Amino acid sequence: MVVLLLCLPLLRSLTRTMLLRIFDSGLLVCQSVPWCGDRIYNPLEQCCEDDTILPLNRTRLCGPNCIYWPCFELCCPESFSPQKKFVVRLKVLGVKSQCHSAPISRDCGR
Amino acid sequence: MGTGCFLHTALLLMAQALPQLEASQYCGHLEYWNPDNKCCSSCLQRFGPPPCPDHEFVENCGLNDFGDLLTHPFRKCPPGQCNPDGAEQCSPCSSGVAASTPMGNGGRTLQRCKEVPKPIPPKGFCPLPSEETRAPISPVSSSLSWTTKSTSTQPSFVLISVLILVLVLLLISAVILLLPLQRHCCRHKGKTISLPSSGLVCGDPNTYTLPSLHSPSPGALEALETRTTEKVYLPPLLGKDLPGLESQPLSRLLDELEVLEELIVLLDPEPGPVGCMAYGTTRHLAARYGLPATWSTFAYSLRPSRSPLRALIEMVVAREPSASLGQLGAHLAHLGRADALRVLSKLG
Repeated sequence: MVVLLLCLPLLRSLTRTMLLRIFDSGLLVCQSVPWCGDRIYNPLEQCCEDDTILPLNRTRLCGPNCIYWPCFELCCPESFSPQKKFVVRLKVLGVKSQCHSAPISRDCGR
Repeated sequence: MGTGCFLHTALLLMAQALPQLEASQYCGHLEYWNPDNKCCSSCLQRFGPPPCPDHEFVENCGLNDFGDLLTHPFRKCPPGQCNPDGAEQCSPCSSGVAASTPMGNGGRTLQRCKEVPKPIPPKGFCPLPSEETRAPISPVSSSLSWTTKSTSTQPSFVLISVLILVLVLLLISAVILLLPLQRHCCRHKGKTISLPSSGLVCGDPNTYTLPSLHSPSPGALEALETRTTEKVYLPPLLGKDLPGLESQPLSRLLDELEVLEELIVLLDPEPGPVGCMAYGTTRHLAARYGLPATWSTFAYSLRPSRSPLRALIEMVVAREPSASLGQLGAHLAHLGRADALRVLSKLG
């Protein structure tokens, strides 16, 4: 914890990458962690969506009838017609996902 | 009087029939409540300006206080109001002055999120046909192009065409150059085939994945390799049919529904063919393609309505359009799934 506090002010001014020290049999190993807005998060348990840290198992409604996983999917309204419908699309890991190019996961209907 | 009463009743009934979105208890009209950060975020920052002319944000851009997107973020301007410039709200057509953004609404407490300064997302594609818009601004698209994060501005149409042409030419030349090299490597290395790894994943710490996540943990890798060395053999199909599969894109599998269905039946069920150990399933295939275990857990949670294998294929095709059936065949061989390989060879 003390080591963590020592790392923070020194390195934060230089880059946005924070180094954590992991103790393993006396060997200090630094590892970068991801940022979400101005906070760090654990990518094994959380994701960063719209500068908000979410647990990986968080679900939300996409339209009135559909549940989706914001960490892995996009909620995309499909049209402006009276038959407005929502489509859930897969996020492509490692790239900035967009509604018009992401593969469809499910059609939520209206 | 009678007509007015009828219209009023009809409007009330219509309002009740539409999805109910109550106004936020915490935020103004052009903001939405972020239940995780417990603060109000800007609709403009999340969705960008209205993509179509004469449209504006709906109340709290369609989000309720639980973070659910219940309605479309945008709606057409009320009669008598216009929005040709893509402002957040419509204004009277005759005035020509954009409506001022309300800082509060109904005395609701505004607790703004402390947002990292970033540019507003660009205006997305307008999906409406041109006759419904006064001034079409971009080609019609079937969906809106909201980005999770965006830092670039919208280039001109000519520049986009030139960029697409250059990218296509580069892709073709890369395929032409790499294909003989891959075959050369396959012949020399024999059973070992090097495949695209997590190097494709962006290493920017501000993205929500890290390259290190995409490689299986050492323990899992050792276990997989142990099982592989115990049972590994290359079925005769591999040497005979892979050359035919190597030149075919992985996306073809999404069109061959019968073959895909057979593969789904073989690969999706858990545990795998060994019995109590989950071995050689879609989950392991996803790991070989560099996807983290959490993604596999998510994909399997979609069953039975959606196949994890289909989701995996779509993900790989979207991420790497040059992925081939030969790579899939190699993965299946390393997993020891000769049965799935036999099914795949039908496409050879």
